[in-house]
Amino acid sequence: MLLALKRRYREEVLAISFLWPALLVLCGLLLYPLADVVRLSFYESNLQKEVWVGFGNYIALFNDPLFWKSFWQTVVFTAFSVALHLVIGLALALLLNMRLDPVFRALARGLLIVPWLLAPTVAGMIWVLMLAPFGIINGMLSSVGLIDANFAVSWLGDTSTALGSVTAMNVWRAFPFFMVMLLAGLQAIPKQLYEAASIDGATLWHQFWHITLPQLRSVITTIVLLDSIWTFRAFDPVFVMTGGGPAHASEVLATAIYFDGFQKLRFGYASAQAMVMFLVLFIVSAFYVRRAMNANQ
Amino acid sequence: MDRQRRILSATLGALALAGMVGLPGAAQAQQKEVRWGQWKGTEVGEKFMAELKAAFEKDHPDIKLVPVDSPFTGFHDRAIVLHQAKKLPDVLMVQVDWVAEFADLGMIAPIDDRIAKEPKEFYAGIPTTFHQKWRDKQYYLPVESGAVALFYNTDLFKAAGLSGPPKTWDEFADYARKLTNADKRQFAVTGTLQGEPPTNMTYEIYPLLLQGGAKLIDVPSRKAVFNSPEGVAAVEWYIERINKDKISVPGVLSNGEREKRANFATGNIAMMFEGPWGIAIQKQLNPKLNYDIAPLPAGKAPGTMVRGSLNALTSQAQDNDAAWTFMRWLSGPTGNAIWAKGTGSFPARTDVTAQDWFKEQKLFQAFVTQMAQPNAESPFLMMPNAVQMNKVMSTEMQNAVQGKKTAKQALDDAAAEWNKVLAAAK
Repeated sequence: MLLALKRRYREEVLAISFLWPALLVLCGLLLYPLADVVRLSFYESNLQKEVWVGFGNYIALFNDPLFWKSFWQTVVFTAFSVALHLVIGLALALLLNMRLDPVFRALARGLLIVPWLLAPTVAGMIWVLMLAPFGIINGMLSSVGLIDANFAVSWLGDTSTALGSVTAMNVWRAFPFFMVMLLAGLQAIPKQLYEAASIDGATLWHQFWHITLPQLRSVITTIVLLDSIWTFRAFDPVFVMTGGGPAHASEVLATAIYFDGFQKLRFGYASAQAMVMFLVLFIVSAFYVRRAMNANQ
Repeated sequence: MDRQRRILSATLGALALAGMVGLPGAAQAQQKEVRWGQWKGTEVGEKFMAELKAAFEKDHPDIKLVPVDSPFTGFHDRAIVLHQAKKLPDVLMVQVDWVAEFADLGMIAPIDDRIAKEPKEFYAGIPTTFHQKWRDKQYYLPVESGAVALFYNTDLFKAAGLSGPPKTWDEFADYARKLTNADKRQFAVTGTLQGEPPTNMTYEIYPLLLQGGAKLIDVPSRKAVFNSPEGVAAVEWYIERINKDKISVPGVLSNGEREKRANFATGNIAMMFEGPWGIAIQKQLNPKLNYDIAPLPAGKAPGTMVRGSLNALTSQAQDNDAAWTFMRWLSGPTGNAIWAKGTGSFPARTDVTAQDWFKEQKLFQAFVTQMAQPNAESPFLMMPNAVQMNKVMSTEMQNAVQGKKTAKQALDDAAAEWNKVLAAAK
């Protein structure tokens, strides 16, 4: 008994001795910056001087219409991006899961994954060119008679279309991730379930609703949570395509934090915004972690 | 044999040790080092930077010049981060918009004492625009400069029956209408009101305000005054050209400098508001384009913005004297002529623009004329946070062009925001 305890104690000491360098780096890289942002959020800071303002930055934040505008635009950007990722990804995964020629299936899968391989900045630049007033999108719309050839829509230069255009690019870039994950999930569903259902006279819709979706629930929850986190903190697509403009029409929290910090040099205020963003992401992450722990159990 | 080998090994070991201990010290005693943080390396090429380094080191054999190159995009933010990390180079290249901001952040140091010790001709050769001080102190020396002028496509002008560039606002409006033909996708200008980067204000809105008779900042009271009736009339005139005459390539609110230059290079855009740096860019984009350059059309008065790339001595410089020697050389007659010839930029010294080789550069002469006219200003040097103030103006001009605010409302709101920034910096 004593020997077993001693061995276990020795193993734990050994494990900790292996772990501490990594833990130290983790603390240095994660906890220190986080703690510093929390600290800065209670100061008015321009890097030259820091003045304690307590909750002053948070009070100013909640009274700032631009903060609320960028917050809601972030929510809209995230909600539409994630929903469309799921719908398009699921539709394509279902198509690729059908009995197709294996060569065609491999080719289609390879081509459809290309947007996911592009860096967000590269994808953003491609879409900036496509959405230019005399770009390919307007060309296609005018060729089918949807817009006048001389009336070029400025997708990124109009306050009513800028956020939608950035969202469209973000949907295009990230749907392949959903497609691949859902296809893997679909291929793991036992075929016998569908065979039994069709013997019982279930329609395709019933099979989808009562077999496919419940079987994919775990994958869908995981990727939706992950995508929500990634999209909510997205910076590059907005910065590259519109810079948050025109007139803040596509400003999201990530770009607002950047501009407040590095253009206005209000690092305390930017830190307070970052804390609000962190809080939202922390709540979503908590769901994800809880779900992952339940799955492990 | 073994003994010989041992003696040889011991000798080599001793030499290596002596080398490790002694040589760096000897080298340090001989040569100082100046690290020069700038973004020009990628633009002008490594070959010219090596030539510049060789020319400087030939004149100053005791100093080694180390150009530290990083791209212009994000240079401002990187400089702030380097300052926080206490890793700033000795000399930092800055834009006119960053001087006051970097000075208030303690990133750059005043150089008045050093200028005072130079011969009078040294500072007299620098245009007076670049004598502007921040908080009564001089923080920079210019490396290259240039005012915004009018680039115009001579082929399109001939085709429209126009013999020369517009000299007044009325002529500009008239010519612009004649030069616009949307069916052929031919436009008079590329209106650039993109908010990021906010330097777009330099090319259209700020010169227009000056030409309309307005001022940007009242220096004694340190208040924004561009929302005067003259300023409002200037912005209304601009909006009328864009929204009523439709003289611009569509997408004014998303067009930036990149689009403006690329569009002009296609040969379908008749005019472009641009600085002398645009000459090298057009040569690269379309060397066959036929164009000429003239001063900007005048409203009630002439007016333009002067920009420039400047060198500043950082507060973290290791060797201030060596750093100053390099700054003085590059902004002096010898170094500045080498820089202007090698990079194709507009010199920062009047005694260099007066040299014969420069007078032969025909396209540059409009900028000489423009800079000599009244209201060739660089208000950025007086702005405590020019990047933020330009962004405010960009956003309000976007609101005005979209019809979300009247010109008066937009300018009033921009002035209120500017006054907050100016008051905070008092």
